Amino acid sequence: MRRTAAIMLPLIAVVPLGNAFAALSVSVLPPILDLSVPPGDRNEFSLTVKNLGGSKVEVSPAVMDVMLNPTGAALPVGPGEGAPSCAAWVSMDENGFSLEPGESTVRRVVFEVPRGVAGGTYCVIVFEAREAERSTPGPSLNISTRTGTIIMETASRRSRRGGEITDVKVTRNGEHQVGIVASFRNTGEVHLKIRPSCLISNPEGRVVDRLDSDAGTGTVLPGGIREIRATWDNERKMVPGTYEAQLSVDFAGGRRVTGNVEFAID
Amino acid sequence: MRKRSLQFLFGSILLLVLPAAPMAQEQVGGTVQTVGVTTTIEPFMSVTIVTAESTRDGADPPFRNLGSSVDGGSLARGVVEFEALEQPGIVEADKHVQIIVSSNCTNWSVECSSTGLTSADDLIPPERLFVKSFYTDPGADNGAGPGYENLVVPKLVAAGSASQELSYQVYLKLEVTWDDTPGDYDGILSFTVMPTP
Repeated sequence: MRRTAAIMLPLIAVVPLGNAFAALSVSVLPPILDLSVPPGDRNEFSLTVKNLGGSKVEVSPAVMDVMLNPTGAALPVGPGEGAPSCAAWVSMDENGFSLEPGESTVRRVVFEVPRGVAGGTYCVIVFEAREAERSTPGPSLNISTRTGTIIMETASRRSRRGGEITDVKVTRNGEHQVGIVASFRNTGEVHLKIRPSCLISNPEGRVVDRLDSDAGTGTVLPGGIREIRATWDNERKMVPGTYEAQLSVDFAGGRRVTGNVEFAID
Repeated sequence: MRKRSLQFLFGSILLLVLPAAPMAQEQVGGTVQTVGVTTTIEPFMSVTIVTAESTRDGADPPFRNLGSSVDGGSLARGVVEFEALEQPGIVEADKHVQIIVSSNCTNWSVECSSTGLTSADDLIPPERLFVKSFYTDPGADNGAGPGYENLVVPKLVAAGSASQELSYQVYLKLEVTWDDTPGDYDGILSFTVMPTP
């Protein structure tokens, strides 16, 4: 039922900051919960919030909607501003609490999916942390950190999947550097993992180069747009003439959409 | 991801094989015993924010460093101050902010945002608060100098992937105008650290 994303990776990260520094340092685990709770069913899980810094912090929890911007960065947003939301299905104690240096707490979360829902829904449980005591009086900008757990719920695996390329354009980043920038929109009901690729062809239709394409992790939420970038900088192959860039996006087990743009090398 | 999983699988096989190897050598001709080794590695993600004395916008300020070492200089609590003691204008913060994010399980991004600063009877909106970082446009100039972008909308100031260990510096400025009522202003600067699904 519950699938915690990428849990079996080697532990590499180390935070060497000890209590000697007045650092604001908080962790929330797990970072992502990829769920498939059927409609009418419920799931319970725990989130661990730990103060890794050297001073006491005040923590305020909140359940918010979430969106991914075109570069793939996740942002907590207000109601109705993000992807289809499951924020209302989350029950947890949203009272604030404090954590001493090194202290952690566990928050129990109940996730209850209503009957009759379909597709993918998303939200983020945010924990905002601030230092409990300020060291200096007077005018200032107090720093807070917000981190949390993203919930990705797919109520039905039979949800409609679809996508389209809404824009492809060429940018010139120098004499021997052509950028191809495309936008992919998820028109389906559930999040997609996309795999882009880009071919450069001459007027005779012969492929002259294949480019690496970057779409980050490739996740696109329903209704969301992901920017895809590729760069052609193989000077040896960039002889003057006209070319066509064909940017393709593969998703959902064999589906592909393609966008084309023509450009010239002087 | 697939490569990492294979690496982990290979590592797990080594863990299972290595303890058994010496035992097999000691018991030549006897019964070979095996010892199973299991391990659970928890996902981990944390954000650390420190403030350090600003270098006053040097000619080539650092934005991104490998590793997670903290800048030199005197470290302070999570408070940044702007001393607008002379005439109005652009005021640099007394410290810069250093962000260290560590994760073994996901990509991540950090966005900086603020609702502005308020006093008893006045408000300085976020469009007069400026940040400069590795991710702000070096050619942008919203009135606070090249590379400084205002906080009308949240600004990306750091991003990375699992197993990357980087620290980022964020520099801050505030625009004070003749219309701002003298007094003490307070506000909150939020750094939102989110995993990238």
